[in-house]
Parts: sequence; structure tokens; C-alpha cells
Amino acid sequence: MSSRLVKEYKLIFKTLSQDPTYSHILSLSPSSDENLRQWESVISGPPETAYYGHNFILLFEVPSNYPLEPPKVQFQANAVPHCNVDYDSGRICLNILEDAHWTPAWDLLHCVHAIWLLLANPEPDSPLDVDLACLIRAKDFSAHNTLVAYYLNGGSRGSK
Amino acid sequence: MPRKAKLEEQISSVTDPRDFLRTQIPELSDVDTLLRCHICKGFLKTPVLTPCGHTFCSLCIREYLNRELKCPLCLAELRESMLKSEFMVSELVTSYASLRAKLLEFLDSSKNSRTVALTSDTSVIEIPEHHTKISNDDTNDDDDIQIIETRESRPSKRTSDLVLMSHKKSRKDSSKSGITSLFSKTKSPPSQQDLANCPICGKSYHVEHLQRIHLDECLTLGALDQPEPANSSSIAEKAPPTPEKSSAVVEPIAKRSIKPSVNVETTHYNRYIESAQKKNVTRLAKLNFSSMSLQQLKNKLSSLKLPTIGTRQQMMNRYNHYEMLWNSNFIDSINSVDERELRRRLASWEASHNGSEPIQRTSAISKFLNKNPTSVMEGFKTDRFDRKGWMRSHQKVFRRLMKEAKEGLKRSRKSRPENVSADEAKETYDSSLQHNESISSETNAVPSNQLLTKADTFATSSQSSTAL
Repeated sequence: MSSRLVKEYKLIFKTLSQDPTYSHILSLSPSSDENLRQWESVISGPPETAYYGHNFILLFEVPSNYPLEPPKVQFQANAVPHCNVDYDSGRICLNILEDAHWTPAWDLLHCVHAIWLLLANPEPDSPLDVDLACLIRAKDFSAHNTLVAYYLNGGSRGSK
Repeated sequence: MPRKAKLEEQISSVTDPRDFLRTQIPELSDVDTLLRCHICKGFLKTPVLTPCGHTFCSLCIREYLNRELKCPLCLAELRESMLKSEFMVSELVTSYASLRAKLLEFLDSSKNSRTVALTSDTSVIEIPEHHTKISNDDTNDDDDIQIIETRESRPSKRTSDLVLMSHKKSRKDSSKSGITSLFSKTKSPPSQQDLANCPICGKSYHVEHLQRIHLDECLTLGALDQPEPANSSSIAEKAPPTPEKSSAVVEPIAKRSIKPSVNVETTHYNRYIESAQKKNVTRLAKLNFSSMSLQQLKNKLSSLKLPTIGTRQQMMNRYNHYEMLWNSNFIDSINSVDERELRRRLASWEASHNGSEPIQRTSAISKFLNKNPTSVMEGFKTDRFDRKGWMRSHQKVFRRLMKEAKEGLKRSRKSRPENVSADEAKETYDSSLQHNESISSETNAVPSNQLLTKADTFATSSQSSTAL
């Protein structure tokens, strides 16, 4: 199945350079020339959110039986304050990245796009960061956004 | 490095639907996209249809259904038995895939726009002509009609005509052979393929002769406005007078347009029609492994001529993959390969997917068995085995083993008084275990019943170290 990755490798590059709908994905490519199983992506924060103006790094690990199994994706650790992201590890809670919900019809580009959408649309009902989720549930968006901005601008998270 | 080179080769072979965006018909990229499998992203290979109306490569979807019972596109419930083969799509895709490069080349917009205008222009004119011809023509010999068209082609439009022709030609060709096969239900004898009708005089000649000698003769005659060769057929009579322009223009066209028609061997249409006579091979059923004994599983595998080595899990994987290959090949595919090829594919799959440590252990044993002549190994597991002879022939190994075992014992004893804590004791236990393991792996050459005593001493030594 690695031929599938090869196809994606070639097509993703073209798509990113040609398709304006993916302009928020700044890059998506293998981490090194040697290994097609490790990918890295940079996405820009969605506009009109607290994440706007910041770039985020996604790390992919593609299993050997991809696309039957979903790729393992996470944010860089200690970089993304988001109610569905574990800040300390960068782990992402997104249903399509789970075995049960993944389908091989999706590809890496879909994953990145879905994660970008998740940034803009936090889902407080399955939180990995309870504090942020609580603020969203309380509909205190200004507090949420301020907290996010605080972390993004280098605010310390305290000992946890 | 060769791996990287292979990768690069793979990368360069990847095709992109967007290749068509820069051609004169960008809409073709849609067709190109549609003919691809959503799982492997390549052109559909032996496509199958799901009840929810989606199409995937047979192998891709079967492999996925071994894990999840749903359609990857709409998430509707789906089981392997629901898949239906789609011969039509299969042939469409293969046919398209083989045409793709040509299409791209021809439609590349870097060619001048004049061709476009002319193509559309001539197609309007050309098609009615073609139809009237067929209706007039009783012999219904398509090949001839087409080539006659070449002759009336206006020299100014020859590029477009040529292409139009070659397109029609392939279509015509396939329909012709398809219909013949439909009625006769037999493949045309190969000797007929070597014969072709001369487009000018209508007589049939051997291809070689036609292309090299006869065509030139015929054309020269025509150009000189001489009467056609004596027994001209009804088609030849309908042939319009040769164009006023020099024969030099007509000649290459005729020559080039004939070639493809001659070279076509089996058309996809033909194969599609013949698929009706596909012999029935029974579907390989899914097995309920939980209710099967190991022996039953082995019997099942050996009845399919599959290897029975490895763990139960590996055998199950092996059967599942083979079942997939089998059903995809005999049920879904329009031209099946034989079982030997399937087993070869299974082996190459196992090499990369079904390997784990258990298989290494088995291979060590089988290596050992292979190394020793069968005469010696006879009765290996029974009482008749010649133990004394075995002892003598492997004396060296046994000595070394005993020495190592004693040293190991000494070492563990020595470490005892210094290290009192339980942790340390465990460590020595572990190390002696490791030692034990390394020895047993070294001495795979010793039959198990002989090793038993050794193993006992090891066990006691390691037990003593933990107990103390």
C-alpha cells in the first residue's frame, strides 16, 4: 500500500501549489527524503479565531497498512491550546482519526484540513483540555480566546 | 539507495487527473478522476460495485472489509459477499488507461489551435458521410469504409482527419470483433489477424505484404489515374476519385492509419463480451476460525496447497489474504490468473506483511531440519532415535553447553552474597535467563529430548538464584 503514499506525495504537492482552497495549509511533506512514513505539515491559524496569525506544526506518522488504518497525527507538543488537543503531548481528539471512524477514502490532505477546521470549531463535548472546554460550554468566548491568546503568546501554563 | 531509486521511479509513474487541465478538453480530468479507486487512488483494478453504488478495486475493498464492515465512501454497512463485479467498468478503465498517454499528447494545448477548429469542423462533416456509407454498403466491412475516407481527405485538413480516423478506427475495430465474437462465440483464428484488406482495391493480403509492397503499388496506380486492379469489390467502386493533389500526401496517411488496426490483438470490448463464458470457479468462503482446531486449519490450508507453517494467527492471516486474492481473481476479475500465480502473490504479501518473530523460530527449526539429512532425523521424536550416535556426533556442542551452564551457575552464585536486595536478585535471574536463551538459540541443533536434562539444570540454577 505504500504506493498510495507515493501517489499522495506527488499529488499533494501539486494540489497545494495550485488549489486556492488549501491556502491555509502552508506545507505538507515528508519530514525527510528517506522516509515516506513521517510527514510534517504547517497550517496557519484560521481567520477570525484566537489562532489567527500563528502557525502550527503537525506531525504525522503513517502506519504500514495505511490507508486501511488512519495516520497518527499530533500537534507539536506544548504549542496548541485547544479544547480537543492535549497541550502537553499535542495529541488530537478527532473522530475521523480514530480507527472506527476512519475510512481509506480520506487522505493526508483531508486530515490536515479536518484538523484546521477543528481549530476553528472546538468541540467541548469530548475535551482533552477541560479548562478551555468549560469556558466554551459556559459560552464565555472572550475568556476562552484570551486564554488561548495568552498561551499562544508564550504564557506559561503553570505546573501541571 | 536502490530503494530510493525505486521510490523515485514510483513517483514518476504517478498520474494526475489534473494533467488534463492544461489540455484542450480540461473536462477530461473529471473522467480521469472518476475512474480511480478511492482507496488506492490508482486506476480501478478489477472494480467491484457495492450495493450503495460505489466502486472500488476488488483487492482494496476486500482488504478493508477484513477490518471494517462498511463502505469507505458512505459508511453504509457492507460485507464482502455483497460485492458485485463490474466487467464493463473494468474494461473501460483498462481501455482508458492505455489510451491516456495518447490522449494527453494529442490534446496538449501546446499544439496549435488550428487543429481544434478543424477537428470540430470535420467531425460534423465526416460523420454523416460515414453513416450514409454504411447504409449504402452491403458488405458491411468497416475497415474498408474507413480507409476510403482517408482517400477523400482534403489535404489541408489531414492532421485532424487522421486523428479522427484513428479514433473511429479503434472504436470500429472493437465493435467488429466484439460482434463477431458474440455470434460465433469463438475467437477468430490467428491466421485471420495476419490478413488485412487493402483500402484501395479491397483485396485481402498478408499484412506484411500489404504494408510494404501492395499499398504503394495500389496508390501509385490510383495516382496515375489508372483503373483499379481487375477484381475491384463493391467498396472499391464506391471509392471516390483520387484527390487531385499528388499522391505523396495521401500515401503516408493511408500507411499510418492502417497500422493500429492491424496491431490490435484483443480489444476490451471483445473481452467484455467473452466474459459471459467465464468458467465458474467457486467462491472461497470465509472461515469461522474460532470453531476450528489447529489441525482443521492446517488441513484447509494444505488442501489449497498453502504452507502450514507459522502460528495459528499467521495461518489465519494467510487464509484470509488468500481468500481475498482468490475471490478477487476468480469472482471479480475478467481475466483470471491461475492458482500458482495467486500463491506467488500470497508469498510476496507474506514476506512484507505476515512476518513476526514466531515465523523466525519456525524457520530456525526448518533450517535445522533441512540441514540434517532425513535419514538421521528419522524417528527424531520417537524412541527409535539413535541417541548415542547423536551424542557422539554433537559431543563438542554438548561440552560447550555444559561449560557455559556451569559458568553461568557460578556467576549467579558469586553475585549472590554481594547483592542482597531483591531487585538485584531479579536482575541476575534475568541475566541467567538471557544466557539460557542465547544458549538454546545457539544450539537449535540439539533435539529437544536431549536438551531436556540441560534445560532442567538451567531451570534449577535460575530458580536457585531467585530463591536465594
